Amino acid sequence: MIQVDNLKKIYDGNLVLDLPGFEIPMGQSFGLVGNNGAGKTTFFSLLLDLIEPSQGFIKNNEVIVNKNEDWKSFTTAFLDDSFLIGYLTCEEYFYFLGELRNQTKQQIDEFLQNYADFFNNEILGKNKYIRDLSKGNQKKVGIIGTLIGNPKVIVLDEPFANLDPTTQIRLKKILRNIADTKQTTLLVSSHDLNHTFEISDRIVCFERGKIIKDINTKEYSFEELTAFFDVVV
Amino acid sequence: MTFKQLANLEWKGIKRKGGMAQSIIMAIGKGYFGLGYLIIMTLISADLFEMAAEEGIDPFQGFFKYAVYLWLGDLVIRYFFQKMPTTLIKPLLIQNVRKKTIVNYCLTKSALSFFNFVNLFMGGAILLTLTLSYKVGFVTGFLFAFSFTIFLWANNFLVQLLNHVNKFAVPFLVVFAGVLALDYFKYVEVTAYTKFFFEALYNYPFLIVVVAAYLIVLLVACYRFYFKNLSLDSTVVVKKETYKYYDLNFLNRFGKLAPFLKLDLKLLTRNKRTRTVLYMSLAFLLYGLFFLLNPSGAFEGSTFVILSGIMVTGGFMLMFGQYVPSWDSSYYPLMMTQNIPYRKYLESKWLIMVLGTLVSMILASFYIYFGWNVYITIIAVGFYNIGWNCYLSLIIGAYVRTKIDLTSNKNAFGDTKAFNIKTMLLSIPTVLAPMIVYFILTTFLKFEIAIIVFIAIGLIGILLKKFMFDLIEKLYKKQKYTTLKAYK
Repeated sequence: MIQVDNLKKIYDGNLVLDLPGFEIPMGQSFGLVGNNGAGKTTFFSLLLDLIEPSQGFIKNNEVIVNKNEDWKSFTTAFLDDSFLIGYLTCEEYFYFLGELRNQTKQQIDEFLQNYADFFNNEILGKNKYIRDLSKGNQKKVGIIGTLIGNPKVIVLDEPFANLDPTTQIRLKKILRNIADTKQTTLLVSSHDLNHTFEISDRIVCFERGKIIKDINTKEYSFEELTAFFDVVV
Repeated sequence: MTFKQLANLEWKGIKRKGGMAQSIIMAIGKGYFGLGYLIIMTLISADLFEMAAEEGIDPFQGFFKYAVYLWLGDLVIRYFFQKMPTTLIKPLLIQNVRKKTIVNYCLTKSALSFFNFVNLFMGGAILLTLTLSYKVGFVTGFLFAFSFTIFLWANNFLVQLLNHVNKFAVPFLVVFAGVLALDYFKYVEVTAYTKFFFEALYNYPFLIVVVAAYLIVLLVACYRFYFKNLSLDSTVVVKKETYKYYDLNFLNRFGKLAPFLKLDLKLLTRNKRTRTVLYMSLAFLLYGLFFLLNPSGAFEGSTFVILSGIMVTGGFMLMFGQYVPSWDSSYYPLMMTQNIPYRKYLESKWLIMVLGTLVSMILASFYIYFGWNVYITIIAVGFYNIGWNCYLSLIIGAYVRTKIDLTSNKNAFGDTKAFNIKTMLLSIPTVLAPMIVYFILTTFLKFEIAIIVFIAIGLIGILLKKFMFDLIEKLYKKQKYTTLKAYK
């Protein structure tokens, strides 16, 4: 699904990302771990064509992302609060995204029913603008927004940070369900190996812009993984 | 923490803002206008005596009479262009910096404003004129020029209060507008009263104490205002807006553009900053009256009618268009990753401007009162605006790239200006091009034919939409990464 080919990103002469090549097959749940500044967000920004590669390219479903916009029709993402529109209510935000992804209002309403638990009665039907929600609730809105319209690729940057423990568990369940369908390629970054282990089929670790570990989670226990990633996590 | 450290922080902020080449060009433009303003104000101050003499009034009496206009001009220009002394306070609040230091720093910064130097030059010009041309004693001349300068300096703080304290600004503006109106329609001659004030300053030099006291009162008021509002919640005053629902489904007829149109209407109505645009657009509708109601009739003639036409029909287009796509800056990454073809996004912005212009044209119907010619000119300019200036606004917008914070508009330390020199400079072609075209047309053709040709030019612009959008889309695509970076 996602092919990285000789990708480099250079800021002011510093090589911040250097990925000679790797592939994420369709339907894989892909976990990205690494310390601050390891290049996780840079990689996601390149994948979403928010920054320009210095060299090489990323192909998303055979579309070179910085040459053609077609990847937008099957890819969704939530990186930070710049993916939210503050002056809309949550419902309006979801309807807006739905309209862009050819979903009717009824479809969205049905879709939202499934996440009533996750929103914990604090978000839906409150007629509150997104800008007036707490940071954590804003994040919930952004994450659920990426699930609208059955995307083939979902990109989430640090989805667990800033969420309360209950919500973290619920989110893990939601993401695990999506991963189990094997229909959606899920890319999730995190500092926390614990969360990533539970939802990912494969964990890749970045360190200073390079891949230093790339393992299948099925083959190891969590303890083994922890020891394995001891250097970084 | 000292002033030096605060100034240092600020300097780094300016230096590292990005878009250096652009800001240098802007700085040159600003410098040019600034110098022009300085020279004009200085010359007027010096010439006021002479001008009065030419009108057959005693030069001194004339000066005292008209001096109030110098003060007024200074105040108005400051109100629109003087930057408020903003400082990045949030990270400083919990550091070891006394509140007093922050406030003092802000006030000192504002005291070093360019406009205060203009006042100094004006004072100097008055002193030189008094002592050299009118042989007034140096001490008398100096004291008068100095109290005049202090009186204008007080505007520095007056403007800050006007900008920040609504409780103060509203009554002030109401009284002020009332007095001006009375004067304008000749019920009261305000200058006859203000004359006494300036004359007294001249005749009784010790009154400089009163002027100084006035300055100090405003300074203290400013100090207290800033000091009181130096916490995050009191400045932000989180007044949550209640949710308003309106049925915008009628817009669905625009098909693929509908979601964006609906979004833009919400953008316009639900944010303070954008609501200002709407109010300003309404104010722009009245722009024509400024010329047409002038009793002297000095502004009659096509050039001014066309200028008002541009402002009347294009007020919204100018105010909104210059900040496309900056209005969406806080969620630009979202827009860039959604299933949105760039062209549809731009077309919807264009359509909003076109609709805004059409509404302005309809609302401007009352200009028919001033005669058919005036009205038809305004309508013709409206078509020109739709045909060409809407594209131009999009092109200008691609270069403006100002990160707009829609939400934190209420902060006393935030920059609330919806109006700045940079965008004004960029808007010059929008205003100038139709004026030139119109001037050429009316010089060579009869009025009616000229108007028809002018409308035709506008319509041609609309027909060229595909071509223009190819151009604009390419431009925006080329700028995509720079724009994203600027909004970070």
